[in-house]
Amino acid sequence: MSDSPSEPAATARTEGAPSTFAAENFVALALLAFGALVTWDSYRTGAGWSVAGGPRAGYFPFRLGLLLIVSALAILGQTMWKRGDLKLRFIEPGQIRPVLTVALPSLAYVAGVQWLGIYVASAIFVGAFMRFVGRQPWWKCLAVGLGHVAFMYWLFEKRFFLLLPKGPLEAWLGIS
Amino acid sequence: MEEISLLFDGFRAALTVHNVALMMLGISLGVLVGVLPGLGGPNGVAILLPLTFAMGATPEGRVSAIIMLSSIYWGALFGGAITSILFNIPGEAWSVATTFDGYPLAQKSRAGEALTAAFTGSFVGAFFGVAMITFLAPTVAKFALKFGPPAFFGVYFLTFASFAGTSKSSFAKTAAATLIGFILAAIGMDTVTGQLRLTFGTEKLLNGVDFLVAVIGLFGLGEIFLSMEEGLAFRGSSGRIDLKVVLKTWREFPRYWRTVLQSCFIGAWMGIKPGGAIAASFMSYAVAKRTSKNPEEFGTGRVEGVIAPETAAHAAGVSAMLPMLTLGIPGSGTAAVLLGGLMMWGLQPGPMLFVEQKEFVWGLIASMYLSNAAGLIVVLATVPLFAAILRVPFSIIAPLIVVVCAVGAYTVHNSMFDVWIMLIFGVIGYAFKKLDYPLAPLTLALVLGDRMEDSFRQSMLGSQGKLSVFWGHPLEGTLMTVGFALLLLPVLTKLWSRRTSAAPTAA
Repeated sequence: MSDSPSEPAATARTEGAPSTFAAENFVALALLAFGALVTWDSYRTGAGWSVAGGPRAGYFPFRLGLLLIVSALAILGQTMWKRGDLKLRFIEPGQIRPVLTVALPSLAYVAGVQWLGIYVASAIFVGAFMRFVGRQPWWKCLAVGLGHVAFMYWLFEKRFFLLLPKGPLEAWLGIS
Repeated sequence: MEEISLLFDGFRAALTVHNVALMMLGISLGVLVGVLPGLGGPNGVAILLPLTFAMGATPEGRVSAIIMLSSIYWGALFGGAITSILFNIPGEAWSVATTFDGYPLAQKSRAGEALTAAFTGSFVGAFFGVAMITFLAPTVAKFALKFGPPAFFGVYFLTFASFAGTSKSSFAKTAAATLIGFILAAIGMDTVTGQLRLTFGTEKLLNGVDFLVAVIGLFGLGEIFLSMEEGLAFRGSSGRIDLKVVLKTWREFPRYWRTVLQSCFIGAWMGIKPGGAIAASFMSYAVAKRTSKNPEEFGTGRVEGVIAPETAAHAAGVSAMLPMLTLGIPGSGTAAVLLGGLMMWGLQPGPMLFVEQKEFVWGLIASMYLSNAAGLIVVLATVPLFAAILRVPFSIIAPLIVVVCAVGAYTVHNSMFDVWIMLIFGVIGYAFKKLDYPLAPLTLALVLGDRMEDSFRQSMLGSQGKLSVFWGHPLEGTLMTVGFALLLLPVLTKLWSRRTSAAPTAA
């Protein structure tokens, strides 16, 4: 990995990186929406008191949802209030790429597990990541990619009898 | 003296070849997760918990399972120090304070001394913590047996209130994180009425969000994303320890008895309250510095500066087991995951554990003495090995950790859906960490949510819906009042200090 530029964020603009201000507001608004959703659903389920059974199923979540709305509003208020004190950038421009180089492959990996099973997907993911991100020599990528999968198979399926998700390759090989 | 004989029964149960082997395995795995970025106590235990499902079927198996899982916890506590001292990278949040003097010592090529002192301090702290548990836990459990639902609600309330009081994050953010934990715990079937809540018509959410999956995502994946920002390239000192250095450090160790003792007390005290180990390590460092004859030398490589935070962190980590065993309230994130394990094996955490599961409880307590002693030996012997692991490029470690997280999330319920949930929690964990939302209360709320709700509803049923039940008895009343005081104290002090400090800055 190339090391990230770590000059202090003294410039007034955030240039190509999201600001902390925007990130704070985004998360607070998401919490607000989540709180509203919870409140609404709990109200629908029944948030009050039943004569026979005491608090209904939505009683607790309804109040939690309301409190979450209040907290989210407080966070929004704090963010506005302290805007000047916030760190300018949520993430430094040089850090976006490294984070994405692990986040996007991870996403592809999980999708791959669903489709190819965990063994094939893991072998490809680890091998390819080492090769294309880490620039490791081919033999190392092959060894680690296949080796860890073999170890996993032994540990989970043979030793602990836990079945991991499998895909077309295992079906073709007749390993269920 | 009944406890002593029970403790010896515990030693007998824990001291089998099988269990000692599991102890060693657990410690080694624990040091490994403590050393690796992206893995740590909570998610290390969470990932390995599914492997113990089969063991949890028999009483002996449950003792073995808890020995292995708790050993991972102790190993992680030891492991945090290695990266702090050799690489100036705290493997765990509780070893941040260890970097202050540990890394300077390593740069002066006194790494062996620093590591030995840190491990020895940890061992003493842990021993102090277990001894306290041995003598206090039965009494606390006996007392807690008298608790009714309102008192338990009071204890839960106090737990979360003290989080808000001690957290360094803003009050609103701590509250939001806690509430999210509670809400996520409420998803799925309502335990009392059997109604579905917050599932929005998908049967995938029937069982709610499993806290293990959430922990793996929040702490594991989220941490990997954070580590990538740093563009990790470990450059560190070599971690060679030879016997001569160890013996020399041990000879000098008694000199620091005061630092060790005060760190033990700070750790044990902080550990009982939630949020323990991290706060304890910082506090202990600060106290050691303040009480030292030459405080200005702290930060340049003082052995006390390593001993103080490590001793306190380990004492706190161990003490966190006291409220977990006696009240069913974990004092730390890792203890919360262990508590989840107990529930999965069909044990009901809380004071009844000391009555109904004597062998289990005392087996665990005895194993805590043994595994911390074993841990000291294991870490002293294997430091070079773990230091070498850190030199493995991050481009190999990172994808492997992602794979481990995915496997861990899948095996909780054999569900692919959980792997996606884990991914989402990874993103949430990353955003929350960056924006300084605390993750510990979220985890704790996720684990305790159902039990807290149950105790609330039972109390309300008993009182016909009158909230006054929580002040109906001196015990409950005190718990609730102290809880509210803790909750409001930081808000009030902040308002007060703002008012007093506003005048000079405005002028």
